Amino acid sequence: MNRWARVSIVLLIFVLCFGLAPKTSLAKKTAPSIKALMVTGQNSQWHPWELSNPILKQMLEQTGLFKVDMAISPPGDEGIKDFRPDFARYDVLVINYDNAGREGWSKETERAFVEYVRGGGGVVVYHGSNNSFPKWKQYNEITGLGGWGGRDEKSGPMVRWRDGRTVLDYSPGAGGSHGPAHAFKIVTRAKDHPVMRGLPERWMHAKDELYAELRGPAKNLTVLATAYSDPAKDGTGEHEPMLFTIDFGRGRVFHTTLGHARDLPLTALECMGFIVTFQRGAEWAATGNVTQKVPADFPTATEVRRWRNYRPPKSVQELLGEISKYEYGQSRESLTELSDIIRASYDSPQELRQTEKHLVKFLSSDATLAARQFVCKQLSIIGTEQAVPALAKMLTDEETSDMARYALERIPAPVVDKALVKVLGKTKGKVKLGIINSLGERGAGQATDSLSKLLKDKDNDVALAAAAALGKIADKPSAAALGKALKQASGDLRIVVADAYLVCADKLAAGGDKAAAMAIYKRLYKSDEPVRIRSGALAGMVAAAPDDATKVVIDAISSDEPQMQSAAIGLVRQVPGTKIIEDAASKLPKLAIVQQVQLLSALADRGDRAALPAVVRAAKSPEESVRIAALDALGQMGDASTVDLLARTAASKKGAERQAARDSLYRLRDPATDQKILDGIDKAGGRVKVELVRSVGRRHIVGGVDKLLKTARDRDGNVRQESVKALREVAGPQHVPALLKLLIDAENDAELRVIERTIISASGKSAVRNADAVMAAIDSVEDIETRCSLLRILGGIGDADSLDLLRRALEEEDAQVSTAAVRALGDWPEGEIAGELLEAAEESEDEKLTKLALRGAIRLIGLESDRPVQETVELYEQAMKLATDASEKKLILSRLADIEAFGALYIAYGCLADEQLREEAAAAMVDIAWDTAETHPKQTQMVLREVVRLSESESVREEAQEIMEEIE
Amino acid sequence: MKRESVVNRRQFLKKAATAAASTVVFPCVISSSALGGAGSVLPSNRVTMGCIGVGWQGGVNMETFLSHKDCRIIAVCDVDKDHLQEAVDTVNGHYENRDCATYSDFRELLARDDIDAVSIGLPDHWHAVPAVAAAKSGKDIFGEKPLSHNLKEGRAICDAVKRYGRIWQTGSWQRSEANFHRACELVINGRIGKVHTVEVGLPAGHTDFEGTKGQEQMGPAPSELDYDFWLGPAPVEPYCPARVHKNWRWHLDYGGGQLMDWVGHHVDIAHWGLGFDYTGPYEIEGYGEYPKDGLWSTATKYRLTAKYPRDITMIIAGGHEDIRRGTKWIGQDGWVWVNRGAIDAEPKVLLREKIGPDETRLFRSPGHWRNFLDCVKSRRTTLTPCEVAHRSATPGHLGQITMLLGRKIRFNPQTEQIIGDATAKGMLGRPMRSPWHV
Repeated sequence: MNRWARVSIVLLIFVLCFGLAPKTSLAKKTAPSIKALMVTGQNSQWHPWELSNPILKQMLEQTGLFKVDMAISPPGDEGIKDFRPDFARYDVLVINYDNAGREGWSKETERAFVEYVRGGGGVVVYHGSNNSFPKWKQYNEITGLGGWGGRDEKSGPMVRWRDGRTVLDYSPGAGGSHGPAHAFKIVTRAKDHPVMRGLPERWMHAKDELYAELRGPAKNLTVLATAYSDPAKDGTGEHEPMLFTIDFGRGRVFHTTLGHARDLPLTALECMGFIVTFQRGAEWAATGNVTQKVPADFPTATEVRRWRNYRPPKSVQELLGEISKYEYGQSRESLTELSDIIRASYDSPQELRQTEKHLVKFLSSDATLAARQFVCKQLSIIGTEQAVPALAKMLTDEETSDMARYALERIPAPVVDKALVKVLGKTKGKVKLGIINSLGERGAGQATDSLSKLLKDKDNDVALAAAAALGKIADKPSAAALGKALKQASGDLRIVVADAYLVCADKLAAGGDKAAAMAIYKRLYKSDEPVRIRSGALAGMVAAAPDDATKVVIDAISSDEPQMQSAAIGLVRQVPGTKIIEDAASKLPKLAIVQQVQLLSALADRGDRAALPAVVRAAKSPEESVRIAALDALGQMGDASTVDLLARTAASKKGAERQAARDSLYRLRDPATDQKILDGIDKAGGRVKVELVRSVGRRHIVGGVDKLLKTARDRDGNVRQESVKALREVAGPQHVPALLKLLIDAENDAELRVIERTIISASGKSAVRNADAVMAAIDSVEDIETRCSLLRILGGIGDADSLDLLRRALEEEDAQVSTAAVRALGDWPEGEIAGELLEAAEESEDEKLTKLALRGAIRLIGLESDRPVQETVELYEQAMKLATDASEKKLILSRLADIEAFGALYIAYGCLADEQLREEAAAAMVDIAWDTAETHPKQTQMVLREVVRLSESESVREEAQEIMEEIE
Repeated sequence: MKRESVVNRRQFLKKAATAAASTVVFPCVISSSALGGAGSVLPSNRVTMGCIGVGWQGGVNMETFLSHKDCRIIAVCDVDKDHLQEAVDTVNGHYENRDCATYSDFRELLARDDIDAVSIGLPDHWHAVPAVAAAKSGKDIFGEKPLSHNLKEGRAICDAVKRYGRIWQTGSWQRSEANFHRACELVINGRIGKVHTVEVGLPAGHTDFEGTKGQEQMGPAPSELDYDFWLGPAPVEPYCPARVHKNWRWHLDYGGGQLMDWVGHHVDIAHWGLGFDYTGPYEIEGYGEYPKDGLWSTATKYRLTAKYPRDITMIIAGGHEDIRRGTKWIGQDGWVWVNRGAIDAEPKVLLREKIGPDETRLFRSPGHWRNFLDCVKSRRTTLTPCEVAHRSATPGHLGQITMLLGRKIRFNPQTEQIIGDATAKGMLGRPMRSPWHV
């Protein structure tokens, strides 16, 4: 089992157990007044916080003293610097945090933490939290001692109890160790300390890790309790500190090394000694005092005491007492509490039976219907034989019959069937129907006789229900009863009986009695029942004996009932072997159009080539829908021989038929297909050639590149164009030189553009951006159009080595060349050159070029990049200044919305006054404001006020309002 | 060497996918153009439809079908008169006539012989009864996800649909979206190597769809609503606004919370990519947090771990930040993640990968509702037939049980029985209030 799986199940068990865990006698009646924050979110493999934290939280809450909040950090390094809990709002922080050598918190958060403690805040350090942050000096001063994470003598001394006093041990060695977990004795060393007052001097702590050799600054440290680290348990032979306090500034720190929680059972967390010292320590850290009383069953010097042994504050009886008056709409807290108790005892059968007794007794009380319905639902999960008599009594009463069935129907004891049958005669109407339904659902064989009689009941609904129930019971007697009824029944009862008979046969077949099932299917198939029943019987026959089904299916296809034909055609998919394919295919021409289409679909799904000749013929049918279905089927079953047909059809037809032919040509599975296509290209001409060329690309025939490079010089312009497009799919970087030659020889501008895109695509398949071949070509090219094209290709490839070349082109006087260079730079795949392009926009005197450069630059600024946010903001600011028309400005505003910086907000704010831009600006502003609300609350609020005043969009105004309220 | 291993992997996956299927399944690839289509349609080639449940998603489905010229909606049914009126006005307005019939009892609508197909858009607790009845009456069915309120009811739907040879499409429309299709083809063709983990991230909490949160004052139902019929097979509890329309989903008697709302989308996609359309987990465990008070009772935060064949672990979680919303398959050679409107992969080059004709091609949908109408005519299996939808919902059904019982469940996906836990087995179904049954 992986760790998570284990953790999740353990967590579940414990949430459940502790969810109903007793409120200890320490519980207070007044509202919790101490504000506690649990700081957690990271684990090592030894300290899964998601397991321990909910339990610790409940421990605190159960004192009635604490109002507990959680600060959960990101689990890893990502986002950790944004972890900024508001420590200052709390009286005590409970640290359950093992960062296991990950990156620490932000300096800001660290400072806030230290300031909080120094200023008088309380801290509880729990167990593995002292493994955290080995290098953070103040953290270690606050925790006093820590272990692992590379701690050694440089981290500080060890603290030991020797000869009745605390001794600091500076001897060298690693910090932190423990032997195998075991139960051990804790000795109180500061009996007058508020945390320890009233605790026994010695007490047994349940199985736990005994931390030893912890090291740290140990300044202002008071040892409250120790334990002997026994060398027989791989211990140090020293009395190691288990509970201690640290004074840090004006803050109080309570440190418990106890409570290891990873593997089941969580003995350490369940220990009353751990729980009570943890609860008391937290109160002391928060207030300097402890008001909690020590519970009577605190562990003794010889005996471990577990929390689970506590008497629940409310017993099942007590809760049932509360629940007895329950009405819908009232609080269901007691209901939840009771179901939680029941849930927690699922694993203890004795306890469960005890609880069940109470529930059963409750049923005959004068409790409300709502309460009894709740109890019935509980019994539907835990009910056994012992609940049956009480539930059975409720069956005859219309008000309680359904709820009794909710429980009874699920109780696996045969006595239930008996009880249900017994009340059949005493009930009528809906109550009776419910009981019949339950008998059917339970498959109660012993009810067959009674139900058979009900088939003739005066109440038609009763007869219908009885028929359906008999179908579900599905044994020989019930089958016989239904068979008999089928002869006699009429009207809607007959349909229901026939359906039940089918259900019965299906169940018999599933249970292995295929002969009995087959007899029913055959009888129904040959009957004069409605076609849906007969076709259902046919389906049953095919499912029960698929190998023998060919004849019956073919006969049905040849019948004169379209519905039966359609059903049989569908079943062609289920009959194995080739015979069915051949026979069905031979029927194809004789069928109506609709059934032809259906049969072609079925043959397509089978994909058996035995049907190929018939399908090829159908592809030439006078009926278009048949042709289309046939062409489609060829894609599934066709071999290389159909390439010709498909290509010709694609070339000569239009619309859906052409599409069907093309789709099938692209997905023929015969391995010989590709070669057939390539060979075909040489022989074909005109549109057929175009289709074949196209399929090389769509089928991704990599071996067809050479052929395509040849056809790219075909006399036919369509073939040329299609070849270049197909090359886009299959050509790679190694083909760039050949493609460049094509480019240079291109006949016109349109072709140039198509080849251009193909070259970019082919280059893009390389792992590195490499434009060497293109750069080499540029020098040798005279033609201005071709040069421009090559420049644009450089932009598409984005090889940094070609930047200088592009920069030079930018300076050229020929407007065509500089325009191409601007386009190339605007297409650049990375954003670093955004500034350059902005400059180009600024310097250019040609308005068109300025716009082109500006738009390119805006695109580049928005690409992902490493540049600091501030720089991005400045670039946008510059772009905004250069923008002359509203569409450009709107473009910038839409990009600004993604920037989390006050500067971005400010730029958008600058556009708010412009009516043309107002709504875009307002929308961008609220987007940004969510982020700046924290960093620049006042300024954000100020500009948002303007949004509220000026924007006409209600949703934007509302959002602005919401952010402003957040800031307040 | 590398090439060879890729091929082997693909062959392995193909074999595994075939072996996993419990029934005979043929690759379902058909071009969108083969059937149906735009333009004028002869009445004989037109699918006549009835819509049962037209309040919310049912209404959306109805309007989508209206836009297809080769189908004709001739009847609508709802237990809320307001919903019914709005629906019939929409239909009649669209066709510019007054021909659409109205029903408040689905059985009357199903009794009509001139209806070919029905669209059912009802709360989960009302999925099984009308669906089974529709199959028995020979109608093809467009149904919603999750297929059923509990596992047993889902099985009943599948059996009835199979018995009567009906066409079924489930509203798991993500399969008809290009990005989900793309992601699944990458995974099923082994582009990320052997998959070991799938993370399915779903929403948490309760979403107040109808604006009735907290309206838990019990009282008489409004006159437009036949409340007893609305409750149907669910236990009787008095009316309050937060219980019914749209927000029924947050009460375990009627729905299954976020988990069951979404299991038919993101788990459905997870299965598609793994070739697990006809199988399921053999073991599942997890935990959920449930409200202690108030009307709504479904889990607000949950995490399930399911074990599948081929050593695949699926984590389905709502409210856990480490599980990203959407479906993420993680394999030995990378991962693919997909969500509505988004797809991502590692390594990124996977996104440009081509799937060749010799590889496993998943059905490319012409549109989810379109596909249903096409299949009604061709009698072909749809993109999301009920058996597939049932399998997509199964981890959710089992998840509900494992969370409520607080223990691991072992499951046989062939027999669909829980192994060695009579209590859990009992919870696969739920007794229905009289007189309803399937």
